[in-house]
Amino acid sequence: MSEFEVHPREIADKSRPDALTAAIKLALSLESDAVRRNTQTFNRNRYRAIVQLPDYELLKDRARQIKEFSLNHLPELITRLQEVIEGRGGHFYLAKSAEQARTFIADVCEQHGARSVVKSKSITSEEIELNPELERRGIEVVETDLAEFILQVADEQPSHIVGPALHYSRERISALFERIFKPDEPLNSGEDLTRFARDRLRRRFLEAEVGISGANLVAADTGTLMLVESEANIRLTTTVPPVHIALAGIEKIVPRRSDLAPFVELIGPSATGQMLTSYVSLISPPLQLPLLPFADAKDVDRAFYLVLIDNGRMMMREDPVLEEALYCIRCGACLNSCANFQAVGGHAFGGRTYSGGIGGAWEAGTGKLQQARFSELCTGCTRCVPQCPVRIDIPWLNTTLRKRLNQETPSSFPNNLVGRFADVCREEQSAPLQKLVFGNYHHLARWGCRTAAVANRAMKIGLIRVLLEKTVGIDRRRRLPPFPSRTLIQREARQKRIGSHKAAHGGEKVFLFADTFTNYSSPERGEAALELLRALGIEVQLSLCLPTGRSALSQGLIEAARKRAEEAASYLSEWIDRGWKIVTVEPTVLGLFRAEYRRVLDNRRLVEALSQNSKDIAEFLVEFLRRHEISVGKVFRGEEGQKIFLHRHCQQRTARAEQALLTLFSDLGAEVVMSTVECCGMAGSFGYKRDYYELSMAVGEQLFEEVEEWRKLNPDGVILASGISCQEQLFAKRIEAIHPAEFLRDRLSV
Amino acid sequence: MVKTEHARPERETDRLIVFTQNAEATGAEVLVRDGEDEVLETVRTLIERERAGSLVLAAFCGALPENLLHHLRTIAGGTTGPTREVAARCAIGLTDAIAGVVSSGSVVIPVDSGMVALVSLLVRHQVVVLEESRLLNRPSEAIEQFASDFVFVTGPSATADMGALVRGVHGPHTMTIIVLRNRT
Repeated sequence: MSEFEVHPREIADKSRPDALTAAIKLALSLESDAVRRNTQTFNRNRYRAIVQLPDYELLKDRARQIKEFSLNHLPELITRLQEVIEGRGGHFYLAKSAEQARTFIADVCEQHGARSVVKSKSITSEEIELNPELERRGIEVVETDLAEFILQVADEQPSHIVGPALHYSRERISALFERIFKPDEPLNSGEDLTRFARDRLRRRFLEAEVGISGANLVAADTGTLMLVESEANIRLTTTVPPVHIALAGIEKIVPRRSDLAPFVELIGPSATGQMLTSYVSLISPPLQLPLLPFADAKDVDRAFYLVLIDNGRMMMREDPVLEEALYCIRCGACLNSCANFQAVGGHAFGGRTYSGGIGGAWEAGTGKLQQARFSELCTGCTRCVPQCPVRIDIPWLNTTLRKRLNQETPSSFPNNLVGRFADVCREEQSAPLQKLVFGNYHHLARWGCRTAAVANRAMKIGLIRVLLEKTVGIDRRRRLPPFPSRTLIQREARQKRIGSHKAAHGGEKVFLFADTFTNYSSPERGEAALELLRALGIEVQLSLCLPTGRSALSQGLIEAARKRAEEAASYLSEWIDRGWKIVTVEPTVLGLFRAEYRRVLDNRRLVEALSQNSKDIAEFLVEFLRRHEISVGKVFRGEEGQKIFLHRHCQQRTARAEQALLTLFSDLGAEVVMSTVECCGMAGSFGYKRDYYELSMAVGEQLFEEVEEWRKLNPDGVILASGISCQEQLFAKRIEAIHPAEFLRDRLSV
Repeated sequence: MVKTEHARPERETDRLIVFTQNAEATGAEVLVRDGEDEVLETVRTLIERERAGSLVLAAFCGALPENLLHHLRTIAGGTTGPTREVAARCAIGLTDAIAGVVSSGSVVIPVDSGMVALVSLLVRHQVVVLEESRLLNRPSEAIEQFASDFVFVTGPSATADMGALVRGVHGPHTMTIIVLRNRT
């Protein structure tokens, strides 16, 4: 036990009750600052690097195709690789299980009389728990990657796929080394610590009989390993000791050496934001490279073993959803671009071996489903989706895991009762109460509005909030936004405006979607959108308020979401067919129409029609003005130098819908500052949940700081946020943000 | 976590400039030289710059003109077949390279039956002599062009694991690329 109250190992396996909440506490109190600094540096550098790749999207397509082909032909490729390795004089072993793999490797070490083994970073070796097996047999094993070295000294599991110890600050590493090694000189800088570790390890490289490495990829036609690193410890591990054992999952095989090219060009930018890391080796062992003789002239030949492990991967390959995880090239882009991961890292947002958004599927696939419980920390914000070099839809993986975990909830009376009345299909009735409640938000909201006077008062009563916290797990510190007494649809009916406007621009017809959030919680922004569109002479109709499935989806209630999506999509498609454009005000709905509906709806035509004919209000405005050659200045009163702080909603960014806002504001001569955070931390229901409130606020902290700093300099400026939950998150710090539609409506000059 | 701003060449003649910028961004020193004599002079100066008495390890894969190789071997003093203990003490490792990569500022070092790979790895200061004509635009071109094993070397070894970016870990701490400019 070190200085922690809870040791990270104790909370690694998230199938244990309360492990996740204990891990979040540990991470927020001890690891958060270092994780945030390191992941955000990676993330910033990645954004900078990918714009330097002129054909970034093509490379991603190519990488995706290669992985798809490889996974489809995996059994043949394994056979081919075995022939090639053995033909080159190497040894090949396919391990079905973790136990088989570690036993084989330990046996090989013993056969070669190894007393000392050097290892380079291999997440797969963590998965098969190799080190304890070697140590049990009296073989000394030394981790040579400096991050793995820290973890070996601290006896912790990795917290990140690329930077396994990035939860350690320099100060904590110094303290750890002081305690364990009691060095003669203090180790007070990164240079001191690096020199200390390097000097200890250099001897080990020269002594070791066996070097164990992983492999980023393996080419079946030549047996070539692709090895990516910066410290040169992999090069030493694979070339200095006479025996080299490479360990990799079977999913790392690609057909040809030439297939490595797009991965070589993608992995550095995606992982650390470097075009190439210091060393990218393409080697086909056993090497012809001369072995440096020992001074005592012990003559040995080189030997090479390739150990491929299955350990659940073939089962993952048969699983229509988990198969996606096998595409992963372990670059960590999804971890670094995840707001929740940036706040807690992989000891909370991770399991025994794998971490982050992609980690849940791996823990479930190579272990058991309950170990993936940390995938609850994926809020579905989608910021990782455009970052993945092999186009894995990570939020969808986690939604599916959530659905499967929901089904394993032990049944209880309140669950059964709510389940029966909830608008979900039978198989989803057993989901936890909290998920059933949030997943049926549209019912709550409808009743909330109908009884607004009573409901709003009730939500402020302490006892009720305590009850809500105890039963549903809604954190009592979170304000519940008041329900309006009239919904958007009721307001619109009152105005009796429907159809009253003459269409000035022939053929331009907008069907404004009254989503649940806008209709029941924030009708003002819907009204603003209606006024905006009508002022421009556009014929507008307001839709019925149908649930889209967003709430259900976020709780893993996929079947309920599917049913709602089918209803909403077929309703909207009738309008599309009659020439209406669908316009949305809530970014999460736009995201749904463009992305998630592809997952839940089978009708391709419907999905494409909705995706292509749905526009965010700002996107529609920009395109409308362009179509009719109307300058922005003609319809809006621009105030030169108007100060705007724009917080971009996560799904708005993924859908690239914020570009339109920037165009409008720039034409108006406004000075816009944008938030840099990937997500506000609220993420729909996430920030309301008792277990995640602290995490949600920790994520929000950075946004709050950015806004406060800007506000100090721009006291008269306007703060804009399109997402209703972003607005609510900001309101936690009494920061009032309005929807861009309201801002634009107030500046209409027509 | 190495911060790098990479540039892309606009015109063919800019390739060396861009290569130089990108390599320098990774922490390497790039010295462009006209003619073999200048290269030799630079190598001599580099060796002298190191502390007196430190060893020079040299190995070549034949990616330079024969005459230049001959003189480089003479300067280095022909340390071939060192023991592990000796190799680990060498201060300078001098090699040639089969290619350079403009987009990343890398050099391409063969991993074959020669000593080039080990020499480029075990020393504290890696010195690479590269012909300008061997510059390729991007990493994929090297994979296409060379069917045998190699390593892309991009700057000295580095880590961010100890809480700050540190150059010089298990591999070279510093790197110098001497480019022999094309004859015009």
